[in-house]
Amino acid sequence: MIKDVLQCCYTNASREVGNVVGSGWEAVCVSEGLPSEAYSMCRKIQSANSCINGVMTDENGKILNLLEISGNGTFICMIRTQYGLLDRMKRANMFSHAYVFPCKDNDFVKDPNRLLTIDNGNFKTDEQAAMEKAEDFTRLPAFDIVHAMEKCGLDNKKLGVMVKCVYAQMMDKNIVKPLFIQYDGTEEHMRALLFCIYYCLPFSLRRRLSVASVRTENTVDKNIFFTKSAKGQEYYVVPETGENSVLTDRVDKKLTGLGFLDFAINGVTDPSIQNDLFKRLEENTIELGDPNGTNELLMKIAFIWMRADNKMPEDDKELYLRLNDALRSNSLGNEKMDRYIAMLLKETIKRKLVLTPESEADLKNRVSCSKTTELKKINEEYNFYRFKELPPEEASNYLAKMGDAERAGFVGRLLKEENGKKILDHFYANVMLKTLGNSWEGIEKVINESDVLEDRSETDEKIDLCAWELFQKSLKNVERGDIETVIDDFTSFKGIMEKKYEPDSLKKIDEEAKKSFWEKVSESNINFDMYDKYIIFDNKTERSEFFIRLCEIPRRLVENGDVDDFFARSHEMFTIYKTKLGTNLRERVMGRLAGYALKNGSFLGSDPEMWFKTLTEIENDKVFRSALALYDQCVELERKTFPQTEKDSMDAFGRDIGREAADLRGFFSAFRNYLLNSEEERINSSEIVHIVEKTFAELEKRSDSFSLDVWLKLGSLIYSDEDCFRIFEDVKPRVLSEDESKVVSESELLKKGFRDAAENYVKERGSEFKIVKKWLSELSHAERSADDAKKKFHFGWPGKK
Amino acid sequence: MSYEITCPYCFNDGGKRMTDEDVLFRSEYVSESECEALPDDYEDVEDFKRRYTGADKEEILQKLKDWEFFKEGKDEEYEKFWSRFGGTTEKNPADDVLKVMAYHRKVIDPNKPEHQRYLKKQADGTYFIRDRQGMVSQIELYNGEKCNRRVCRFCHNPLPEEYGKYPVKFASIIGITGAGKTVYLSQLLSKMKGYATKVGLTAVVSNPGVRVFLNNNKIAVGEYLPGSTPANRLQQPLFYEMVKDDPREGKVTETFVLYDVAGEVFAHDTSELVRKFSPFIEHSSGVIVLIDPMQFEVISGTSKKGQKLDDPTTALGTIHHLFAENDTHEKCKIPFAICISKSDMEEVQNVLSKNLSGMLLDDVVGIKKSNGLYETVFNAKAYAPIAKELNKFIMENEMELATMMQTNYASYAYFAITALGCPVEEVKMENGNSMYAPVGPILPKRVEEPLLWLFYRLGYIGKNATIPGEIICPSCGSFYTEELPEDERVLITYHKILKFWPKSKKFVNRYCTCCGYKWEHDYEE
Repeated sequence: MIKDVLQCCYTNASREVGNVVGSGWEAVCVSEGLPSEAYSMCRKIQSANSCINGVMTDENGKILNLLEISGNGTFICMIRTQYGLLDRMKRANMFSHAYVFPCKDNDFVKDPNRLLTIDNGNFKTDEQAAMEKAEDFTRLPAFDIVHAMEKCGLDNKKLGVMVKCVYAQMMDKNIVKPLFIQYDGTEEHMRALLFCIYYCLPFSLRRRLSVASVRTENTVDKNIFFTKSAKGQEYYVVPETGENSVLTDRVDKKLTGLGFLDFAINGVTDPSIQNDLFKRLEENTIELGDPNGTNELLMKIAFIWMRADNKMPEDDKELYLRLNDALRSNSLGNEKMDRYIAMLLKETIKRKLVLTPESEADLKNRVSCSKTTELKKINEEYNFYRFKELPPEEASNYLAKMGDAERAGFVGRLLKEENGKKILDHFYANVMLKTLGNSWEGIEKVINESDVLEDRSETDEKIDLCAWELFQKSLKNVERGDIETVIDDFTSFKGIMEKKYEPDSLKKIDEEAKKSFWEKVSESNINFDMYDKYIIFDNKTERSEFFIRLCEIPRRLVENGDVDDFFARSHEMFTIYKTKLGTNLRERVMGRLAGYALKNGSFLGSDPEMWFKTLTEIENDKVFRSALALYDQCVELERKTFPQTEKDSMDAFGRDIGREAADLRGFFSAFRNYLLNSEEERINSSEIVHIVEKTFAELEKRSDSFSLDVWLKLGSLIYSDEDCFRIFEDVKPRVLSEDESKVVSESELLKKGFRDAAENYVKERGSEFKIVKKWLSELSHAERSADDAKKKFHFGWPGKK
Repeated sequence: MSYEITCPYCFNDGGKRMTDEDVLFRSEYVSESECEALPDDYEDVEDFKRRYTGADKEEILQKLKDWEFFKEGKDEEYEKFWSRFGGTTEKNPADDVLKVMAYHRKVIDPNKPEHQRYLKKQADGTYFIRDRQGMVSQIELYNGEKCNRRVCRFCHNPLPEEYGKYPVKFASIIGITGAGKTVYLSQLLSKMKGYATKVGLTAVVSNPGVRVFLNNNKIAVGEYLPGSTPANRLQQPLFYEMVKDDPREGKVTETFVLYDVAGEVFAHDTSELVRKFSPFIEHSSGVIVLIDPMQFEVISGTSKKGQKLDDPTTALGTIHHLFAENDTHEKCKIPFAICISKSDMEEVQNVLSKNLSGMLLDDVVGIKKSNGLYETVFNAKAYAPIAKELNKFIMENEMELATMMQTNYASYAYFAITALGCPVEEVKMENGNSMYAPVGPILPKRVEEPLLWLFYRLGYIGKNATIPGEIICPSCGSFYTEELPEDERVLITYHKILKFWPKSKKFVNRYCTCCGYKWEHDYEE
């Protein structure tokens, strides 16, 4: 045990407790103050070496005495593992003796001799020896770089190759395997090579370098293995010749670009350089934000910083490379780095250079973390400079990425520049409106913000377009009958237009808007409850008048419940628009009106649809009035027939027997009464005949056939009792084709008052006289049968009383 | 149909579910060390991303991404697993030829959409290639290269070919330093096929672990004996497929996995080690414990050079605690083969009865059928007298061990083996130290017997006679029976209707812990 030096040994040790012997792999002779991190590190390396396969020999065939130097950044361990030993069972054993040096003792890092001159004699091969105390290490003569290079056959170039190979192995994340360095097989040579390597490596790498004198079974995190024959390995270097498999053009170029490696190698024999270089490099790297001083990019920047200080490179490419490196380094929020970037950025602006979008993203990120105002200011300058130089389209995109506050600052500055105004106009028109133009509030915001521009022609144009599109979009609500929303949007649209236009222009806009509104209104989407809203859009066109008028009909029905008025207005309207509506449209409009009236329960009586259709189809005003009076009569009759004149009963009646003769009887009597009072009308109006016939024929289509009496009654009403069979000249009801015995048996009128009329009709050879003749003969036959039966009954047949 | 797989390394990260469709694959394809797509002026991808402005930027970036994907590198999950054991012990001789360590290959998850872009979709619409039995065995890269190196989805350790297709049984071999475990294992593995044949089984090696173990631990005349097993290093599991021709079921295959665990793990004050290695013991269906004869006082006491070694009960006690974590009164039900190694040593021979010594020097013989092939049975007839004698020896000389086994282990048997069967001599090395090497001829004796007994207990094979000390429940056939306490040895049967009326009395002395059956066991038999 060396005074003030930490150690840890590892072996398959025997222990005797009482009389019992135990043995096993364990750490032994461990210094009292050995930190647990160092202990774990030693155990990991040492236990990895405890796989002993037979006799462990080195490349010379001698029993292996492995030398390892391992650093983890906090500790450096120098370990000797002696094989060829025996355990208590006389089996192969090894003894591993590690000395541990904390990296915070910088002397060990600065001066490779502190490690590399430790003589082998200091490493023991058994526990007892390892516990022996000593004042200090016995040491080999110290190396100096000139002699070490001489010994290894290296000039500056070959030294550079070797050092760069080691550096690449340690720093290139694509190299995951160790580097094999060729040597002559002697430890002296190996130590001299190691001295050269350590001498040219930055401190942070010296602290982490892990080497082994021989390739071991376990390559746990080793950077270098020494070998007498390196060439077969994937990564190798032959120091004496410079042959290697590591330094490809790219790797070499990259390492050259670092600067400090070449600087250290070229000035390797200059003590003034060597004494200071890596110390300052590390200090600067730490200052730039890497507390461990291990970040390659920061080391590169630190070196430039050290060398160039405030001098800017003459070459633009070099300037950009430096700025790019600085921006992609991960030392966010570091003041020194921010100042460095600010300096480079200022020069970039001066030289009118631009960054790539990725670098600009890095810059933005960095600025957001920056504690200095310097970088923020330069960044603003850069952004402004970028705007000035960029075409409005591109500049707008950058403006879009800014926060509100940042942008507000820029607007003021851009307003002072002619190109700036164009950028702003483009920005408002194409970027801001694109995001905000889908709401009235958004459009208003754009109007208010862009108000700073005297000339915002592009923005104005786009605002109009946006507002118009938004209003047009709102017109889709018309299809759903949601006129209230349309009115809200119409108001907003007008509000925006009022901000921009004089009354003359506003009038035209208003007209256009209303016109487009009415184009969307149709008989199928008109909302009869929105009469008041439609009025707002009244533009005195035929289309608007039609729909407003149409809308008014049900409105009045709802207001006064006057069905006659409803029919009268409907009739009036269809008469007015008869030619313009056409059959299909007319039917659709009628359907909507009828549907609405039905829904509101305004109709009375049964089969209101039939009534509505009949009444609205009548074109002659007088006939219409007759029919309307007839409707009223029918409704009244129904009320009398069914005292409970509530709507439900009426509906039930309509559903169940509304289309039956019972229903029609009321209709006939009402019709007759009416005609009796208006003789003239009866005689002159062929329209009435037509309507009634058509109505009954229609009814028969939808329900069971009417009996003969129904038709005779109808005939008598239209013509006269005597001529009642004339009805069959115009109408061909189903009763004509039914079984004559059934028809006759169900008819009362034929038996009583209308028999003569039938005989006359047969005589006069009306178009259906054959059928009527059959009915008459059937009637006679039935009467005879009835007389016979009566006689039989009277005379006792069948014989019982 | 999917195959449930238990990872022999991490046991599915503490018991999660894994099927053949969940396994990952190591890529056969490995990117070149430098990406050709990266233009020369750029240091790396990050540098390229920021500085390159060419129109083909996205295209190049995609190529770089593809290159990065297949790049050789450390696998985080794998490294995490092995960091607990001081680094991996996985070694495949083929890796040196291919110059890529298997565990540095890209691990591909065919279920991950971002990985699927590198894979070829198969005709069934999945990215799996199945073998004839329908087990997922390969994936195909987009360049047509097939990858069949399956790894566990949790720890990314390799799963041998066909692993998971057949029922898997794990077993551990434990021995304290110097018990001769490495020599024993080396002998056992080198002759495994022959030993299996003796009991009508065919043993097929299914991973390189066995070959690597035998290469590293050669046993040969004049060559130094192997060093001891590093305590905290996890040795690679040793995989065998045991195949038998069953008259009823036809060809039956089972996977047998053997773990080599250093005995120090279960010695005193090594709780950290116990924690690390306990999963392997806990998942074992059988354990072979190797005991150095010097662990017995009766032997070390008579030896001239003898030193009394740590008592075997220390390790056995620790193991029992592992199995009965929640109930220390519970017996461990896993079969334990307790083997005294180096049975040919003079000191051992001196204390054993002549009869036993003689028997131990005989080879284990298989039972042949009329057709000349071996029967799938453990030769219990030959083992029975040895077992009887060894029981007697332990009872007489190592009461502590006998009590420990009786109290804590429900199923165990004693064996005595010699892995060398010849003396060793000291051979000088160049540094003057002398190591032991076998003098020869190397004639191992009965090394297979504990393993064959384990095969019998695991149900791979039957037996041809009763094994002393082994009491089987006459009702359910279970091995797990207990002696009844004195006051419970009278079994009264009551009248069916008059339930209080004792109908008959019967003497019983054992009960089955599985089915509860009680019976009178004739110990003399």
